Order: sequence, then C-alpha cells, then structure tokens
Amino acid sequence: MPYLPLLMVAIAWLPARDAHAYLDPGTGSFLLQAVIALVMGALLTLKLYWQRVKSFFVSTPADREDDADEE
Amino acid sequence: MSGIRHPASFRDPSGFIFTSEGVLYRHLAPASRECYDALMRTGLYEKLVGKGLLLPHEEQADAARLSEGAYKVIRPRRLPFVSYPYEWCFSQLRDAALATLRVQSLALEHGMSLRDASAYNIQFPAGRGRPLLIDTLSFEPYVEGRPWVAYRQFCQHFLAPLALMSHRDVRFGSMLRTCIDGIPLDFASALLPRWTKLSPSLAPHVHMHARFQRAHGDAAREGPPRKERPVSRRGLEGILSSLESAIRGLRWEPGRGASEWGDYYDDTNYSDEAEQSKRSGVEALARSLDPDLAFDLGANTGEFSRILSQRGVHTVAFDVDPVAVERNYRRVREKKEEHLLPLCMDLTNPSPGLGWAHAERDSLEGRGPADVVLALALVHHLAISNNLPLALVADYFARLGRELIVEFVPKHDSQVERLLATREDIFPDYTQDGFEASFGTRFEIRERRPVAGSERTLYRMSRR
Repeated sequence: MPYLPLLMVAIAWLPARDAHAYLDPGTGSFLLQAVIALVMGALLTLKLYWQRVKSFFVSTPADREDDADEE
Repeated sequence: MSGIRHPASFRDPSGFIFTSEGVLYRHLAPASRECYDALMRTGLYEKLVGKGLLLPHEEQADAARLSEGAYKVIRPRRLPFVSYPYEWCFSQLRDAALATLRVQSLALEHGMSLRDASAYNIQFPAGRGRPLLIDTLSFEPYVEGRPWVAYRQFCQHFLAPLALMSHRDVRFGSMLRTCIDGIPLDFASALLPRWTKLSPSLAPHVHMHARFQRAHGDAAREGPPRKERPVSRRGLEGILSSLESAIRGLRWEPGRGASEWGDYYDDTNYSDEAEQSKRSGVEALARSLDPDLAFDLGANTGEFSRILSQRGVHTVAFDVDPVAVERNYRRVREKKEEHLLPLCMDLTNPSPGLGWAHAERDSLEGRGPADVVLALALVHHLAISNNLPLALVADYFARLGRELIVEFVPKHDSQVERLLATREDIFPDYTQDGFEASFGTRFEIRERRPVAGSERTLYRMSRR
C-alpha cells in the first residue's frame, strides 16, 4: 500500500506524448479517477479508521462539521 | 409573456436565466425535472441553504405565464453584485474551492452529485467571506460506480490556479481572465515547479491528470468506447478528501515589501489630524446619500469602504494590489463583516466583457452603475502615473456611478511629489481649477470639504 502514492508520482514523471487536434479531455479524467480512486479510497479508509482509533483514546470535539469550511 | 434571456445563459439545456419586468428568474426546462425534484425531495436544498452554501430561491406559481414551456420558474434571491474568479484574491478562490467540495460531499450524503464545478457558479453575496453556490441546476442523482463528471473542471477552475498562485506567483490569478474555462492542466503542469511532481496531491490531480488527458484524448479514434471503469463510492470520497487536503495545503501569505500598497496606511503622509479630518469628511459627504450599491475604487484594505458597508450599503472595494485585497478579505472573514466585497481590479485595464460575443462575463461597467463611487487618493495615480487626462477620468467615473465622492490631491502634496520625482512634469492641467473644470463637465459639484492638516480637498458630485 505505501508504494502506491510513489507509483502515482512515477507516472507523473513519464515523458509526455504529442497532443492531437481533436482532444477530448473528458475520457482521460474519467480513466484517471478509476485509477486514483483505488489508492485514495484506501487511504481514506485508513484515515477514518485511524481517527476512530484516536478518538477512542483521546476525546475530540464531537462535531466539527459546522466549522469545517473555516480555518 | 416571455422575458429577456440572459446572454450568458446558453450552455445548459436544462434551464436558462431571464429577466422580466426587472426581476431575475430561472426557467427550468422539462428535462431538468428529475434533477430539480431530487434536489428538493432529498432535503439537500434545505440542508445547503441552511448552511449558507446555496442561493435560496422561490418557486413561482405562474410559471407558464412567466416563461413558455417551463416545467417550473424559480426566482433566485437577488445578488447585489456579481464577481468573477479573475477578480478574487487568493483566499477568495481557495474558500470558493472548499465551498464547492463541501457542497459535493453534502450532495453525496443525499444521493446527489455536482455535475459542474465551475468557479463562476460561486459568489460572495453578503460579505462575511462566505462563498455560496448560485447554480440550483448543478445537481444530478448520484449513480454508484460513476466517476465525478466535474472533476476535471474542479482541477482547472480551482486547483491549478491556486497551485500556481501558491507555488509560483499570486499574479497567476489574473490568468483566469484569459483561460475562461480554468487553466488547462497540461499548461499548469508545465508551469508548476518540478518538485510538485513529487507532491502527493498535485502529482495525481494536475500532472498525472494532464498526462491521462493527452494519452486518452483521442478515444474516439481508438475504436468503440471501452466499458467505463467504475469508481466506487469510497473511491470517490477518497478523491474528494484528497482534493480537500490539496486545497487546504495551498497557502499564500501576503509578504511584506512585495506589495505596491499593502502597507499603505503605515506609509502615508497623513498626520493624525488629516486622517481624522478625511474620515469625518467622507462620513459627512456620505451621510446625504442613501445608496444600495457602492464602488470604492482604489480601496486598498478598505478603511474608507467600511464607512459605507457598516451602514449596510453593499460596497465593492476594488484594488489593483492582490496583497491589499487579500488583507481586506481576511479582515472581512475574521470579523464576519457584512456588505463588503473586496476584489482585485486594475482600473487602467478593468474587467472587459468576456466569452462568447463578449457577453458571458460582464465588464465592470456593465455591472454598474453603482449608486455611489468613492475615489479617494486615486485621481493623482491615474493622472500622473498613468498619464490619463482628467477629462477621461471624469468620463469613466461618470459611467461607473451616479454620485461621486472624490479626493483631489494637489501637486505639492508629498505623495504627488513622490510620483513626480522620477518623471518629467508634463501635467500643466493637474491643478485644483483644472480638476474642477474637467469633472464639472460630467458632474455637478455639490459640496467641497478641505481635509484639515493637508492641502487635499474632498468633493461630492452628482452625475449630470
């Protein structure tokens, strides 16, 4: 699992192919989501699991929902 | 009866904006029925409006009379002023991005999903630094397994410009004026520092994203469409969570010394007496006016804008300097101030009409006129630093507002002497008499108030 982000970084470094004139940017965005969703979904699961473990030992404010969009 | 359709409202087949008898409405086409009904039925509308994240609206009883063929006609709450992402400072764009993600998370909780993540769908209507979504028709029922259709738009409209502003230069924000659909990701990828290819957030969402777009951009020629690869709900939530940390990780601190005007109030020639006199002068001149909308041109961090906004006047505080606008916005947000909207604007090159037929995004002038324009310690910069004849300055001010509160700063004022120190004085008409003569052709001068402890004069004028 920890090497998956590294793999994503490695893909970002691969040399680029030439662009075509009739590009459809949508297909690439959809395919990318299918790839990164595996990694990011797993990371989120770990994060939520870790938060539950943490909140078992440390009491945190129950609901930070309302100030989630504030700093 | 049919109203006048808004020229920018043509992309979305599910509805359009129109005005009828001066009131703004939205026509919902029969095709929007499923999405709109789901928004209302699932409780998402109520939730978002309750949290101040969506512009409230009222359904109109007489839909058929207002707009032919409408499934429904809604009347969104009126916005006092519409601003655009290329006029926002860094934190405004960042807050708009976070609001968009928050809306999308809440939508998912209600079985819905955003199908647009356009920065133009976000506005800052009531000050307080709280952005909200204005596009009621942005939602569609969420289908498990489907990727987020607005993912690319979110990256182009928010993540790419914020990353460039944060990691390269904050002035990249103005690039949104050229790239009206956000910054193309291959462009952003080429412009960002190389080390960002190692960033766990920018590597996938910008660099890899650009690569995937290129690699699969010619899908139509690659043969029959491949089966869409599913994105699980947890995977989608993971992407949203990653986008949120990416945005939260982007920061920009208005640096000292980097700004044209950010430290202006620590660096003026005013004595305390002059400062006090100017403030009370502006207060007195403003007292005789009862405006709804005010433009403060060259507002800096909004010291004088607040004279109006604290009276409940919706005040737009324009400044050319992103540092000053950033400071002003942070203060609005911190103090939860209402009625004040700081925006970046270069008056010597103000926002033009943009997009198809120049009509999708309105020019500054097209969004006016304001009831009152404030132009304090500004005219000498336009006239001397930018060689603008006073008659042209008066002419443009008259197009922007009906009433004018303007300050004249004479040549022997130390601030003007500073401007003239490095250039030849080719401004023989820059005198108080010349000023009054030039502005007198466009405005009727109602009141003059000298600023005690200085050579300056405040004027109140009405457009002829």
